[in-house]
Amino acid sequence: MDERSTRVDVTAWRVAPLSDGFTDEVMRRIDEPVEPSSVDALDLLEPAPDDERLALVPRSSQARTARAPATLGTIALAVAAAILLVLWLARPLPTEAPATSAPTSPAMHVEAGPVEALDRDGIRRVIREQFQPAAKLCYEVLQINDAPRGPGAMQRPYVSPRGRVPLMFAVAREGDRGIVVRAEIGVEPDIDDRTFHECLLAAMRKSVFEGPFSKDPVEIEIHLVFGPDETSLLDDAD
Amino acid sequence: MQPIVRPELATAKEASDVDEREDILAAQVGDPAACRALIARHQRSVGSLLRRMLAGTGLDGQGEDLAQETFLRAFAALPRFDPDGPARLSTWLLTIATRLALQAIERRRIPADEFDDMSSGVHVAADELAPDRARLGEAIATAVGRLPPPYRAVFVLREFHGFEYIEIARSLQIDVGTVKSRLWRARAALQRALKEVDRG
Repeated sequence: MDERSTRVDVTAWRVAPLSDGFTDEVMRRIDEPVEPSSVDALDLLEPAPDDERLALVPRSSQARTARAPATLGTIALAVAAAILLVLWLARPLPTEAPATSAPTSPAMHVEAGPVEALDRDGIRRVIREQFQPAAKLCYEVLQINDAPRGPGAMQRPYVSPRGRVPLMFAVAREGDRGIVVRAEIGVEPDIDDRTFHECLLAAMRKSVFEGPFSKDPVEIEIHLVFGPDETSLLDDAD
Repeated sequence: MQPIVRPELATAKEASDVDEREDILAAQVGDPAACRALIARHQRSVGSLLRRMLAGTGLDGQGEDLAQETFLRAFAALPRFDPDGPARLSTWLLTIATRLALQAIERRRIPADEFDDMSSGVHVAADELAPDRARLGEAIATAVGRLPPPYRAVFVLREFHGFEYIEIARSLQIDVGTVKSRLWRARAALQRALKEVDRG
């Protein structure tokens, strides 16, 4: 991508400055409490998303690599994985999700929220212990569904689906625990497969969080990174 | 007033950075003069970013309010800001401003294809510009006004505020690859729009 070929001199676009009384107005309001928002100034001081996102596979194996097509062994593994996934997803919900009006503004990254909200470590623990195993199974099923089939399949190279999938969800308090009241795939997922997305969302909706909780639902966005894992599908590769 | 001379500082930028560090430290303990100095130093860039982000969205009039909001949020969190840390105050402020703008646009929930229709309301401060430059500025404003907000944010941060790719990625919490692709598409769209202006 040649940057020079698309550069445009934009300096001609001038905009009006702020008003003369701007500084005075800010100083007048400086002691006002700041309303909670998904734009958390402190949160924006946190490390870059690259440092924070939850890698489901080792970074070293994320390179696009050609893999052998599905063999009988991998098909059997996939069937087993699919059965495990179905069983896991079919486990009873801790409780029904309450009818709640989820916030409409998008969450930015992993929001810590107000003082009594979920903490990052707690969120990571739930993701790692509850969601991640199921997400790996979702990915395995995707790989198998995506693999070449039919005559000559063994001779055709297979490139595993890979990339980032943003996932947003809202956790609301119910009793002494938090349940997922809304989950959706974020914009521009690198892996655009509806079945895969539904699988991830179903897995997320099953997750149960521990408090403390804020009064309102906490919106959380995580970035899942999927890629071919040459070692074991069920390894923890955090 | 006698200028403060710091012979040990090699450049004006270094001197400015030291001044800013002192202002941040003073503002962290509530010194109003330091707060004013920080506002004075950054209000132009924050205001420009917001005006460009909101141009053509129907929220043009909210630039001033969101600029206030940006500084108020920053001052509320300033005691936790490390002036010696990796984050620059300017980058942090512009990140807050960008997020507030995107949030405001999102709240309006304008479908992407509506931006085309609304961009006719984009204005450019042309009073100091020569006619040709003014026309070019108007064309750029209109073309940028047609960009969907996520593309516009990348474009404005890069082109008008000199953010590095990694800084944009961190500000918008997207991958560097996404930054590059959005920037490339935004520039390509802008070039197409400007060619149309040339032909017209």
